[in-house]
Amino acid sequence: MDGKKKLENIKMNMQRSNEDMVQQALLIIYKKYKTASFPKGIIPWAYRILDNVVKNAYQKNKRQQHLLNDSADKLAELLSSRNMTDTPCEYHEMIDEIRNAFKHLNDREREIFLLKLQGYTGTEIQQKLGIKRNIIDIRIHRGSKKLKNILLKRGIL
Amino acid sequence: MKEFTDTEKLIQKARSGNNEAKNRFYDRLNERFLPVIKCELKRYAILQKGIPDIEKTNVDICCKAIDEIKKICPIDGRNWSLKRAVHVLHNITDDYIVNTLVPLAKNGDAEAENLLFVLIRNKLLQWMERKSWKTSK
Repeated sequence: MDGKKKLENIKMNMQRSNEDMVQQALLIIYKKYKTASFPKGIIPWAYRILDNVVKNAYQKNKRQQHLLNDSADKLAELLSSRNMTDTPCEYHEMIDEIRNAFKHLNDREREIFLLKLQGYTGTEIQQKLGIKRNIIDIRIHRGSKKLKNILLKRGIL
Repeated sequence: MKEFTDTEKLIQKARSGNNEAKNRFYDRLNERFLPVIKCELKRYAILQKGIPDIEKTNVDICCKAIDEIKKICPIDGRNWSLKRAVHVLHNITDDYIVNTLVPLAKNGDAEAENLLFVLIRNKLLQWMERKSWKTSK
């Protein structure tokens, strides 16, 4: 991908994420504005809500990245313990491949799959994310299938 | 063209600290701002429910904007820029419109609610753009 296209993509993603966050803030404002009081006016209040939404999104992103790295390490450890012939160099390559493979899952699948890899049980994930148990099982099943296919294609499994 | 050079001279005099020129400049700014605010207030018919006297409100907003400009970016200060002054004017007008719409929307006026959320959305998007520009720098 040439530089100009890459820059356009980054701009598009930034715009999209900006609009998403604004939309999320608007939903909160819509829910609360009838009961809330804003002595300094509604606009500073709205800015504060948006600021909190941005901060939360940043924290969530950071947490997910941390979770992703941690889970990739765990999975790589598990795979290398099965296959003792791996050299340290191959081990690092494998971690990178696993991290890339995780990117092919959608957000929800990744979130559930990573929590599962961290050792959370289905009920704990259900309580944490507030979604139905059978959905969790389906997402884990689909996620592991996708991951398995990708890792098989890349010769890691 | 003549008027433009007059304003340029007036700005130069005001920036050099001449009080009379400063007052004349703010009066001229007042004259220019009044139709802009009036136009903005008349753009939304729904506002007439919340603003009984548009003429009076127009003058009030303009006075408030000029006071704010005197505080934030006075003509003889380092912060002065016409762009910033216009920005202050638009911010104050928007704040006024939004704060007029809030009670109407709270009382269940659907049109006021729609307009209120359109205005808030625009404001938030502008804020996000400014913020991401700052962080990307």
